[in-house]
Amino acid sequence: MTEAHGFLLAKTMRDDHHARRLTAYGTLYKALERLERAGHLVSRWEDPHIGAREGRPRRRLYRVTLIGEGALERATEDRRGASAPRAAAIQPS
Amino acid sequence: MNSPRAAALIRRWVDLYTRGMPPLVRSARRDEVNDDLWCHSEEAAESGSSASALGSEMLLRLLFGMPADISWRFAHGMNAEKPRLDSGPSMSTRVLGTLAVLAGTSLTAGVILMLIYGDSAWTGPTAYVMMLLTVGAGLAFATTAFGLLWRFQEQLHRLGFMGGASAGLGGLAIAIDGAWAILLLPIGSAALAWDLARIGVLSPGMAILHALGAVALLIPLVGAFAGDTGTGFDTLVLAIPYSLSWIAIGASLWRGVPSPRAGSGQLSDRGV
Repeated sequence: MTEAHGFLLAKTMRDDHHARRLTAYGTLYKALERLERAGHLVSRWEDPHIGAREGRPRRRLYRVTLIGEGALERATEDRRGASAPRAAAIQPS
Repeated sequence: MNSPRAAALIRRWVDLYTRGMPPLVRSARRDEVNDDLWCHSEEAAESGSSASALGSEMLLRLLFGMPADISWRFAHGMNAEKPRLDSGPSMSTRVLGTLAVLAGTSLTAGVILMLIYGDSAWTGPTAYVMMLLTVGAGLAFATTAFGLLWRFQEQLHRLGFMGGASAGLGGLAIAIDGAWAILLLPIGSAALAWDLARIGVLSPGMAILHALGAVALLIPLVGAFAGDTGTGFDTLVLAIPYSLSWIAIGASLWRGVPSPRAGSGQLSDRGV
């Protein structure tokens, strides 16, 4: 996924985590803004003509930066590291 | 609730919590949420969800996100560029600030005397002091409220204007012992402070504190009038935060009011 708008991100998170609901508006857009301020994301506004042609509001598109990719990798590794001992602990002896 | 009504409610909420923010930030958040609502409706139409199911999910997304919306708004308020203050406030602003401090101080002093002496404060040796403090506070409240109306008449909305007029009448009611009409003071001053915060004369935090003080005072005051029980201990204690907030407003006016910034609708304190 190169670029994604807010709803698509919420939908992806819901589907990936088998959640019942989409992330709340306030939670989602506040988090996106914080990630952008931290340099993990960059955003741009889509050409307004595209939205007008499709009969929908203008759209903000987000893209993960290199800093964001690095942070994501570290977070994924940390999560794997944290879940490995837990997985070992529940293995039948 | 069906989805168009839920979407309308969400748009109103976005308008509310972004009020007073820079237009670009405001429109960005509004457009982003609008696009989200549009996408959500499209997805629901494709999956065959009912309008009420979609509306319910939209409402839940609104409710669960409200704390984040509010904290986001406060964070933006605190990080926003502070309005530049003039080197000194104008004479009229200083006078209004002094009157606000005088009003708040007189009310606080009167309340403290009542807390110490009870109803005998009105009959004993402190009777003249009580009368002076009451009339002085009432006149100072009225003059401050009417003065703020005059000073910012071109910028205030109808709410602020009506609030200022009510607060002024409520102040006069205190000075002439106008019974229930004194309720107009906290109601009106809360509305006036809110509108003054909108145009940048007061900080949003100060307006919120003043409004909370007004509500805290109103509840026992209305109860006292409804039950004809007179001012009790709780009313007196709850009058203190309200009167202190007037002192804070006065001090804020003494610091000056914001200078104009291009396109921001902020105010100048020069030459008035």
